[in-house]
Amino acid sequence: MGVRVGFPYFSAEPTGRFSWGAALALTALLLLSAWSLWFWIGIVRQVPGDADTAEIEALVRPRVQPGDAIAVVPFWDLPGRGAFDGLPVRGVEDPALEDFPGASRLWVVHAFHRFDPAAFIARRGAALIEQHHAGHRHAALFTLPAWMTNAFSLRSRLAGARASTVHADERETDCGAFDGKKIVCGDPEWNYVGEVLRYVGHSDRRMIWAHPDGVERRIVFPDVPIGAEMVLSTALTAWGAALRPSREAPNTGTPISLTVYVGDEPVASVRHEPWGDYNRHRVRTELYRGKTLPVRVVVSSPDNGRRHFMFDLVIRPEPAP
Amino acid sequence: MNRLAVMLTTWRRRWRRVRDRNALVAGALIALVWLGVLIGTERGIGYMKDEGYYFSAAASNISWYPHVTNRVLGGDFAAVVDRPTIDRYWENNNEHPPLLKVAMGINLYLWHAATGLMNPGRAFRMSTMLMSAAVVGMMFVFLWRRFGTPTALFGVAALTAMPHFYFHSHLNTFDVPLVFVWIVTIDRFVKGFTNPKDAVIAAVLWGLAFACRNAALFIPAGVAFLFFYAPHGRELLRNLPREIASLARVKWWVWAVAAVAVAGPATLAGMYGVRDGSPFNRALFTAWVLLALYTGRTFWVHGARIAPWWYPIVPPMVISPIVFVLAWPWLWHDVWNRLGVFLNRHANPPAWQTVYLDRIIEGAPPYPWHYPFVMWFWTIPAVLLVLGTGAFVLALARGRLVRAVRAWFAAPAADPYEHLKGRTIEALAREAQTRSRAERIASVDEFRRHIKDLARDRDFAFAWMAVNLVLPVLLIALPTTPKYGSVKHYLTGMVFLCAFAGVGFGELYRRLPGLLPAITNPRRLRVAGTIVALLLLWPGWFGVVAQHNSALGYYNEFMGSVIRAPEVGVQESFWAYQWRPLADTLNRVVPPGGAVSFNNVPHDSFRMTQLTGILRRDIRLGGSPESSDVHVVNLWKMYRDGMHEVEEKYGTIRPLDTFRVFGLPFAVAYKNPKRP
Repeated sequence: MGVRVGFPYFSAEPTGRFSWGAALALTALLLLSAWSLWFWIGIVRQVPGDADTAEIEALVRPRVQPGDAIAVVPFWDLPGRGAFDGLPVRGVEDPALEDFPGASRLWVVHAFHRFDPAAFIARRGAALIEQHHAGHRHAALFTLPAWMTNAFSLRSRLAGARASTVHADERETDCGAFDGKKIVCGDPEWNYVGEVLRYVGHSDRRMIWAHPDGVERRIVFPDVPIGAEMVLSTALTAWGAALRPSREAPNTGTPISLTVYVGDEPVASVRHEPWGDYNRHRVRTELYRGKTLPVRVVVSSPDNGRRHFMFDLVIRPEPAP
Repeated sequence: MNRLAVMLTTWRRRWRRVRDRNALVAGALIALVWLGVLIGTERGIGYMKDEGYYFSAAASNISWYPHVTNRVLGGDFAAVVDRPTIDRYWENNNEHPPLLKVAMGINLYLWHAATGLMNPGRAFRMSTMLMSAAVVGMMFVFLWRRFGTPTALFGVAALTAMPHFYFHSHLNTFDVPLVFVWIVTIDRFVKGFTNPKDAVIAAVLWGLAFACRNAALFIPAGVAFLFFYAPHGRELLRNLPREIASLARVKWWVWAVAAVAVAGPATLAGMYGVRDGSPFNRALFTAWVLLALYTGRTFWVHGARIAPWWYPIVPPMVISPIVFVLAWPWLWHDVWNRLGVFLNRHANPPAWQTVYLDRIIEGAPPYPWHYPFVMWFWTIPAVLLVLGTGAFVLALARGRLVRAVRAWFAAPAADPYEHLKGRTIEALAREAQTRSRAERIASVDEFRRHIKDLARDRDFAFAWMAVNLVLPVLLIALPTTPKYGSVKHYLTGMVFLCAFAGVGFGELYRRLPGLLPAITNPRRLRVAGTIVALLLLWPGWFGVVAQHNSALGYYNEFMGSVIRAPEVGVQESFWAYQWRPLADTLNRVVPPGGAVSFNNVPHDSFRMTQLTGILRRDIRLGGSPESSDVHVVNLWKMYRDGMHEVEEKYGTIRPLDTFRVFGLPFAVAYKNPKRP
């Protein structure tokens, strides 16, 4: 069992002696190889084909009613989402973490073992109505609890909202009127308040675009029926969250502050960190429950450069469990 | 005819004397097979965004040579240093050094322009594919010479089972070529520890390597470690006072040349360098070249008289810089300013956006130091990662460093410099001068005998492999190094992880008879070894086959495969190549003369798909989704919002077609309903 002379320099002859180390190593590697086999077979076998997609669309689409929402899981399943073109569909990561304000029923179209109907029922208090299966695609229909159905987003009240900009000299200038899509506040194309669809927090989300401008951007929603609580979401687009302070511009990429006033009282004040993608906050508004009051949202940032900021405010008449 | 017969006989005799000729032949054959695989699979891989830039830069750079040659042959000798000409051909893409682009241009000429054997895209890519094949062949020979056939075969098989290495081996970029130049250069440096001629060659190679890729600048960091790991470093420190004293005996005119060589350029820089537009400086370059030639000749001819520890130090300091500058005509004018621009650009590199753990990293440092380790853990096939890492750790645990640390803790270490304490340099110099020259030569000769078998030092071999594994990764881990490009900036480390995997397999292979009593003869051992090897390699090969055209986004079992990428918060892919599988759809759907727009595909990459027949030539590159018949989005996090904007403009979320990997969309095409 000596070292060979010449080539190779270091190799030793095969040995008939048992080695525990080698036995353990070989066993571990072969088990890992077997696990890899199981893993990759599972990955390949779960991929839905075009036929599965067509079939699930044919099963679900005729059954969709007004007031239904559709969530596609996982959020990156574009063909699954595209099959429901023209319907209120979103790609989401976990429906149990999402709000579907105003929807009475929710279709969850899922694949890749990313959704557990039982867990959704338990966490959201939903009730399963029916399920459909088409190869590797599945659809489950739930009735949503009243606290979700009766909730509404301030996005639905943009038409009556007013926006303004407070400048450094404390002068406040009003933005234009809502033009059917947005409230334009100035020349740069980003300077508006309006509903947008963006990919944040691993889901497609409709939010209110509120790029800060001047010292503050103020948005007032008049006559909002206040509920037991609000869900405040804040987000930066991927492009905005990517901005970092640099040598040339050390003060860029600043956090964004958002304060929500009900009437004249602040009920929530949050800071969205500059690298932050998506955040949610639950705000108790029991004190104002049942009242109709203006809701004012104030957005500001020390440096407004590339602050592609969005928020959403969902009013829940009843609190979620 | 007789002379030819004699010559052939002499060559045959010499060839028989090459003891490892079988390994060389096998290595060459394996390299050829790998080259064949790469060529055969090249067409299915889309063109990267950066490839487009390098197509035009390479074509521009290589065109300078025939242009200048024609002018020189016509008597215009000044054309070689004509600044407008140089700037016209070398200005393009001057943030990267030129030699690899020249290599790309040479391959374009050889395989396409001169012979028509290949389309221009494949011809450009041949440069990388040839170097990848060379890496595979070199690794086989290296491993065979040290560890034997099972290790060598498994090591290179593991390399072919690395999806990222496989994918990058096709591309007209710098990453796999860097692996090639890195290995060749550092190998020559190590040979130069014991051979002054190799040291001179290493110095030239390092200059050329730096002219290939800026990361080659860090090769001496690895060489320095190996220098002190080998006895050379310790001997240098031990002999340093005597070496300093012996400098006094160097001939006076050498000091004069050195002073001119140092003071001259500095003076000229002071006169010309800081002023924009300084012309080609004959005096500077002549002094520089002469000094390099003198140094090279001294070491080449008289190297046996020079202490070996100077071999890897002096030649690179003197020769490499001028080789680098001479290899890059763009630097010949305004040399100090342009060199400063180039070096400053790489001291403060741009941080291209990348998604890592759900954050987009760009802007100023610090960057996450753990990026290469985490990406390493997720992008190498699980079995090979475990095998290679385990073998590396074992080699480290048994190596000289750990033994030295253990010995240091075990007993008080003797101070090797005890005899120097309390003594001044002047006293040592006087003492050294009083010693005879013969004594000095005797100690150097003894050192030469001691280091003669460095190549047969097992610890040193592992150290060499470990340096090439760890150093590229550590360079990327630095908080000041921008993080992007997944694993492409440390592919060299991946190659040597495969080498360690081969070593690990070799150790398991030779212990198989002890583990499986049924193995009673060499044939059964080979069969059993082959079966075990296949069981360990197949996951990597599966990754290569399953993601042969998307392996830039290969993620392993530990991460849950690429479909977890958007969930974990890393990029499913990048570099805008992902739309290649949609080309057939585009050819079918886009009307004659129609347009296709993309979120991030540059014109040169788009054009190459047409020149190579992948996309119809009448299809135009659209400027916007509104003006195009089809819009294609190459997906990762940053571009998903753009996808929503297109859906809004087109009024549909139903894709025309998607390229998916295990169901995860890599690219999505939308048809503009407002166009017929």
